[in-house]
This record gives sequence, C-alpha cells and structure tokens, in this order.
Amino acid sequence: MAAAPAFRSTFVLDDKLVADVVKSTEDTFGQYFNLKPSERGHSINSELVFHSDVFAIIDILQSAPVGRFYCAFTESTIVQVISRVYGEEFISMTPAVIDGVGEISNTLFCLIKQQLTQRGHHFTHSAPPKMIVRGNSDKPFVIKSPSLLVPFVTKFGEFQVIITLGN
Amino acid sequence: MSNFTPQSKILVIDDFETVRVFLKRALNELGMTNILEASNGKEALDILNRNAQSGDAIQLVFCDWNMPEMTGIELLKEVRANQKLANTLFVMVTAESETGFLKDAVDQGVTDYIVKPFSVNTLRNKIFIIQERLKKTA
Repeated sequence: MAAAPAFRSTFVLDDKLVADVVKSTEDTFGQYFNLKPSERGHSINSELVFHSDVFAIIDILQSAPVGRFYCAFTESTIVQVISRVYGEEFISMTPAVIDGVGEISNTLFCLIKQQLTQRGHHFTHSAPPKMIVRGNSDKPFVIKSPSLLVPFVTKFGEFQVIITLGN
Repeated sequence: MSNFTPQSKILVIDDFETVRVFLKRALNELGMTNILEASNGKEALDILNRNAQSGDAIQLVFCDWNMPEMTGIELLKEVRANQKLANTLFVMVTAESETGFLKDAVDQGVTDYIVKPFSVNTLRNKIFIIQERLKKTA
C-alpha cells in the first residue's frame, strides 16, 4: 500500500514570517527582560548547520506535524538574560536557566502562532518544548529540511530563532 | 467575590519557574509580598484547600493555562465547584489569546486574564481593574 502523502504546512518561509518572528521576539524580550534584541539579517536555507549551547524545540502542529520551531542560545547569553529575571547572577547553565529557555521559547512560539492565525492559518494545541542542552559543545547541530534562520543580538550576546518545514 | 489588599495571600501557579519568579518579583514591586507558589494544578489545589481549611484562605490566584498534571482551566473548574474556594479571585495567565480559549475561561468563571508576555505595568493595570470592579460590586 502506498504511503499517505506528507501534510504540507499552510504557511511558507517568507518575509511575512520573518516580520512575525522579529515582532514576537522584540515583544517577549522587551516585556519579560526589558531588553531590545536586534535582528542581524535572516536566511532561508535548504539545510542548516548551527551551533548552540542550549536550545528548545517545539513541534509545529497543523492537521499533522508540519515543522519545528527552535530557539537557540549560547550559554553566556542565556545565563545573563535569566539572571535579569531572578535578580541574582547565575554563572552557569543551572536548571533555572534551562527552564527559562523553555518559557522564552514557549511564549515566543505562541506569539508567532498568533500572528499566523490572524493571517488565516490554523494550528492545533502546542506540545511542551523539548530541551537540548549541549553546554559548550563544538559539535554543530544539523537540520536537513528547509529552514528560516533569524539571528538576534542583545547587549548580553546572541541567540537564534529557527523555523523549519517538514520533519 | 473576595476582596484583596497588598497583605492578601496570593498563589502563583506555573510549571515554569522563570514565570513564577518573574510574577513574584513583579507582585513584590507592587507591594504584595504574601505569595505562595505551585508548579502544577494538583499542587495548587492542595495549597488552596489547606489554606482555606486553616481559615487563612488565598484571595487571588495567577494561574498558567498550559500545565502538566492539571491544566489551568481544569483547576478553575475545581475551584469554582468547591464552596470553600468558589470566591477566590482567579486570573488566568496564558500565551494563547485565541477567542475560543478565553471563552472557555469566561464560561468557567475566570475573574480576568493576562496574555504573556506581560510587563510589571500590565500587571499593575490588571490588578487595578480587578480592584475597581470589586469596589463596584461590593
């Protein structure tokens, strides 16, 4: 029996999605951390290789899984960002810091989803973020599907938001 | 509905510690320091019941929508169905602002809601609105 055809997302990796990512990121970091992240250009890639010490992955679900959302930080960036919420200085990637990556990713993804919903795309309820902690790993992470990469910089360092289509 | 003052007991419920810390610090900035926390709905229900039974009930709850074990809306239903807890002020905190979700919460008797991400100022305004509403219905 032939396999069922893969479900295709109703949205595409385009400039409108970039604008959604930028606005949602600015809102999240502005409200929670009083930080203004700046976009450092974006790219759409057929295959993506990136480095990160810690990142969250959230499956994007429409009628079926259609892609993934990633929010990826260097250790020094996220440690300083989360220290701002706690009012105490973390010096390494504690469970509280990793928890913070999860909440930032969750909020950011929900905001992006809202913008897409307003443009007529429908999503089912989100699953919790899956956390990947690599901690100063030099080994790159490879995504072998079409991806939108939006790098940001804050006064505490860099982070990346990535949206992929397919599995 | 119960009234609340800066001395009132508040329960912050979220599975993410970062949000609980953010909310506690924000409430502290607004002069509210009598704050308990729970990381899921079941733990929260236990805290609410224990405080009500001891005669020192929690007046105001900030509850995340999406949580493991028991979701925010499930907790709200339990609270409204329990005579001892039914008057608790219940503010839903959610990143999901779709009308369907909010209609469910209103139908179940939510006091108000806050959409994530939010600032200390948004929280201050929300508390002010709830207090004004309570004054009018007193």
